[in-house]
Amino acid sequence: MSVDDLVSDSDRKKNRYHFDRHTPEYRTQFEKITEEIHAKCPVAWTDTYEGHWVAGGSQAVFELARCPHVSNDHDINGERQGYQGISIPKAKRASGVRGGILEMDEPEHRIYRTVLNPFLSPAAVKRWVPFIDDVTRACLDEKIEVGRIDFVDDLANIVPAVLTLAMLGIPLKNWSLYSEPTHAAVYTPEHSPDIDRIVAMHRQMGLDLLTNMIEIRENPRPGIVNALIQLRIDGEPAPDLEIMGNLGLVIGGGFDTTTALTAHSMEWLSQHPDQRERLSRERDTLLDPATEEFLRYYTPAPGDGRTFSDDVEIEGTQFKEGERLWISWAMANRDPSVFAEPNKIVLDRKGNRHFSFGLGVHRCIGSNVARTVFKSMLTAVLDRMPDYACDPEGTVHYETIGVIQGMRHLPATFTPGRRLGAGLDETLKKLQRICDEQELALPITERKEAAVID
Amino acid sequence: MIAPDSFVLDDIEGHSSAVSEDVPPDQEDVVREAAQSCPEQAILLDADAGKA
Repeated sequence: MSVDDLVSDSDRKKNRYHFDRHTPEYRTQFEKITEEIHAKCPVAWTDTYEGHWVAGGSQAVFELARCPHVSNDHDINGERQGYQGISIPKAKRASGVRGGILEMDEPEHRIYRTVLNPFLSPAAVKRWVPFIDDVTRACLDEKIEVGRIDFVDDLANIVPAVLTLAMLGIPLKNWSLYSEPTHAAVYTPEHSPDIDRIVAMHRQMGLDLLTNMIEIRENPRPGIVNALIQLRIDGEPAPDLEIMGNLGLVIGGGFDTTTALTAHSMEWLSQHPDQRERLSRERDTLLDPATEEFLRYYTPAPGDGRTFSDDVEIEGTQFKEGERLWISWAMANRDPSVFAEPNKIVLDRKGNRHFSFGLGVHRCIGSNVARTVFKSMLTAVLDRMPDYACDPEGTVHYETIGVIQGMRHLPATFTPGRRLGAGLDETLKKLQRICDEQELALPITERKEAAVID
Repeated sequence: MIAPDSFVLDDIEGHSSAVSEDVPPDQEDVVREAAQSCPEQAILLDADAGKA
C-alpha cells in the first residue's frame, strides 16, 4: 500500500463510527445510536471485527441491498474470492457450513431458490392455515385452564417449529429436538459456560436432519427435503452440504425470527391494553397494517453482512472490492425521512415500506410464513386470553441483539378459560396423520387445496 | 395486500403483478398506498393514472 493509498483510504473512510452490535449496550442504546448514524453518516466505517462498513440510512440500505457489486457469497473452501457470507464476525461454529441461498450469488442462488419458492409462496402458505390454527389451538389448550402461559416457551417457540418441520417433511414429534438448539444458538454467546451443551444439542439436530435426508433419499416423501434431493444441476444432484445448508437456513430462518416478532408484539400489547382492545375489535382492517408495523419496529433479523465484489461508488462513498459491509434493516426502519415518528408504534401506519424482510433478490423467502403464523398466534391469544398481562419480572430479553432481536421468556397471566380440544402431543399425532394422508408438504405445483383438519 | 383487486400474486414464485395498466377511479387511493408501501419501490404510477 502506498502513501497515496493510505491518504485516499482515510478520505474514503472519513465517516467513522464505533459500531459493535454484539454488545449489551447496543440493545439499550439502539435508538440513540440509530439517531446518530442517521444524522451524521448514513454509511460509516467502523474498525470493529477487522473493520467493516455500516449502512443505516434508508436510501443507502436500499441501494446497497440491491447493488449487483455486493456479494452474499460464503466461500467455505476458498474456491472463489474467499468472501465470508452474511455473518460479521464469522460465527465460529458456523464457519464450516454455508447458509444456503442466503450465502449464494447468482446464478447458483436462483437454482436453489426456484426449488424452495413453490413451498413458500403466499398461495403455498395459505394451504397450511387450518394446520397452523390447530397447532396454535393445541398450544393454548395446554395452558388455558391454568391461567398462566409463557408466550415464548409455550406458544411462539412451538408453532413456527412444528410448521417448518411439516413443510420440510420431517416428523412433527421431533420439533423440540430442533427448536431448542436453534433458539439457544442465537442467544448463547461463544464464551458462555453453556456453549458445550448447546453445541451438543446442535449436533443432535444435525444428525436427525441427516438421518431424515438419508431416509427420504431412499423412500421419497413430500416436502422441501425431498425437493432439494430431487434437484438436478446440469444433470447432477446437488451436493449434500448445499442441501444441508439450505435446510439449515429454512430452520434457522423459520424458527427464531417469528418467535421474536410474536413475543415483542405480545409484550407491547400487554403494556398498551387500549391498543390491544382496538386491534382485536378492528382486526379486519387493522391486523395487516399492525403486523407490518410490528415487523418494522422490532425488526427480528436486524441486518445482514455482505462483501463488495467490485470497486464501486454509491451515495457518495467509494467502496473497495473485498471490503465487508453490514446492512442494518433495523436502523433503516427508523429513518425519519421514510417513517414519521419512527420510534413510535402506529398500528395503522400508512406507506410502511419497511426493510424487515430485506430487499432485492435475497428478500426473505419465508415472509409469508412469518406473517401467517404470527397472525394465527396473535388472533388466537386476543380471542382466548384477551386480558392477559405479561409479567415484567419473569420476562427475559436476549442479552444482545446482534443476530436476532429476540426474547427467551415472556410469562403472562390471564383469566382461565375452557379447552377447545386435545393437548399438543395428541394434536401433533393427528396432524402427522393428516400431513401424510393429504400430502400437505407437496409444493403448490402439485397440490392446490388447503389442509382439512378432522 | 393493500390493493388486492389491482394486483395478482403468482402462485409459484409469489411475485406480484398489476391486473391492468389502467387504474379504475375507485382503486386510485389503495393503489397509491400500495405504491408508497412497496419495499422494492417497484410500483410506478403515471401522473394521470386512472384518467386514461
